[in-house]
Amino acid sequence: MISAINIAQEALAAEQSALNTTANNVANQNTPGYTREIPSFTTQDTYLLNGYQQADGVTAGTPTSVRDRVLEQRVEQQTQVSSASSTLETALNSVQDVFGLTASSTSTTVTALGTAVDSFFSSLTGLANNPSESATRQEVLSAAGNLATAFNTASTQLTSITNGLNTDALTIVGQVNSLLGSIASLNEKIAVQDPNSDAGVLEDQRQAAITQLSQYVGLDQITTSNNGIDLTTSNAGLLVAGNLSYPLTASLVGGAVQITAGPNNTNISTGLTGGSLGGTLTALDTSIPPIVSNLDTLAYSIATAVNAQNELGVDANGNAGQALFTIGTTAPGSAGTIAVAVTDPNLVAAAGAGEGSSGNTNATLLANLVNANIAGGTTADSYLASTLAQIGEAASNATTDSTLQSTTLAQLTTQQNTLSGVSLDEEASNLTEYQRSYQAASQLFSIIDTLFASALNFGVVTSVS
Amino acid sequence: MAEKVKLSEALERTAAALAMFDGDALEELTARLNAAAEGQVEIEREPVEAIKARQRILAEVLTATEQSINLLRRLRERKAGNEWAQ
Repeated sequence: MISAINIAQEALAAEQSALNTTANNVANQNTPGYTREIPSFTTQDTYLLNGYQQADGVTAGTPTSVRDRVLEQRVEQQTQVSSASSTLETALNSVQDVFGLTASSTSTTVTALGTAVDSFFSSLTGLANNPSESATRQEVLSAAGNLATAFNTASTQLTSITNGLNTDALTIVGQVNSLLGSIASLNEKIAVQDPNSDAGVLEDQRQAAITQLSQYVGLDQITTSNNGIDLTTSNAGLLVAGNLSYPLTASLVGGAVQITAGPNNTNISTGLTGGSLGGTLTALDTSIPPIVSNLDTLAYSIATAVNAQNELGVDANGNAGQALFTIGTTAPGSAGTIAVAVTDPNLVAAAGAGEGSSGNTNATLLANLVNANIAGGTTADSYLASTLAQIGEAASNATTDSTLQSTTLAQLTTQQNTLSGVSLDEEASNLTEYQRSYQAASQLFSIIDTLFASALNFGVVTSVS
Repeated sequence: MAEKVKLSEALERTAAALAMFDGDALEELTARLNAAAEGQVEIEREPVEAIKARQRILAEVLTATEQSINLLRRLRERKAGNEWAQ
């Protein structure tokens, strides 16, 4: 009888503990990173009574958090990829804006620079047709000025984007550092309180901090003894080791962001991927420099070709021609510094040598530069078109990738919330629902593919172009 | 036949609905695309690249979804077998 009472009391206590756990779950429903705890019932020892095996009731153990590191790490990895991709997309869209490109058109004619290049060569054709008219000479100088301004403006805007990204990188490093100390401190508390089992709320807090850190930088995790997690950057820069944190340092060296990590201040700037810091560094180190370089090459090529040709001719005063553009001795920086060197329209050398100052031979040769392979082995217009196409393609790819990565992240987060979050729905029914959605989307993919193929192959004229 | 559908938009909405496991939105899209297949809804002209880019996105989201569902199923089995990570 006493035993029966004991069993009943233990069962009641266990039920109460389970109720407390449920109440705790509901109370924390909106706490970021909170992981649902499930009550753990353990059967007490059995004993023999009157020849029958009797159970001694149940007791409630410490609640166990419903977590799985595989899923948590997938969410973190996807967060890193998605954040990097979104940052790169933003940067490349800004670059696209500099040139006035849109998602649907990368034609040179829609850009200020393309228009300026075309107008400049058109003005030279006008000069060849009317070499004696001061208005056509003035038009050449005006068009040259507009061309230089278009280069200068694009260069200034690209520099501004680069400077903004440099500042972003320094800010992000500050945000990373503010989280590292918290994670190290939580490692220490977990090692003391729960070295061999789930640490519940403390692990939730650490997980939330790691997920937040994943938005900023690509991470690798190492699970250590005493329930600890050590962290490094994606390229092995040490961030957290047990209860110690190693803040990153960031500085501008020669205009480039340099990041160091770990106790030896190792330079980890190269190869740091993931998170908004990784996306920012990719934009700074990989995406923007070729665009700046191409812009400089184009400015330098046009200026040096025009200068060389103008110096071969005779100006309206009967003197040998001189440089029309001020330009450096090498291409780097040319887009930012190109300027018109002369203000007197009579200094445009339209005539050829020995032709007299009213000739047009040199003006024709200047105008013909529009078809000459003066920039990177091709014409100025083709070179610009190719550069704009590269920018458009890079921005388009970044947008596609960012959409994909954020969609995948949204889905993983939904699934994590189902399994590890506070959910009143049954997981089984959710899985069935997921499967149903997957099948519906697969079916839609097939329908659209068929419609697409029909429109392309069978010439549905009102359909896809 | 005033109503029109853009294939790229349909693909984008499918991927978004799948990301949120929004069954109602997927049903609605299926009805609309079936209507387009039967010629009741016109397909709007648009660049081929726009459709191909979104096809790639949906294909990759489908692959990721399949992998995630399989993972969830395995985790559930582990949990049912009392092999839950603690």
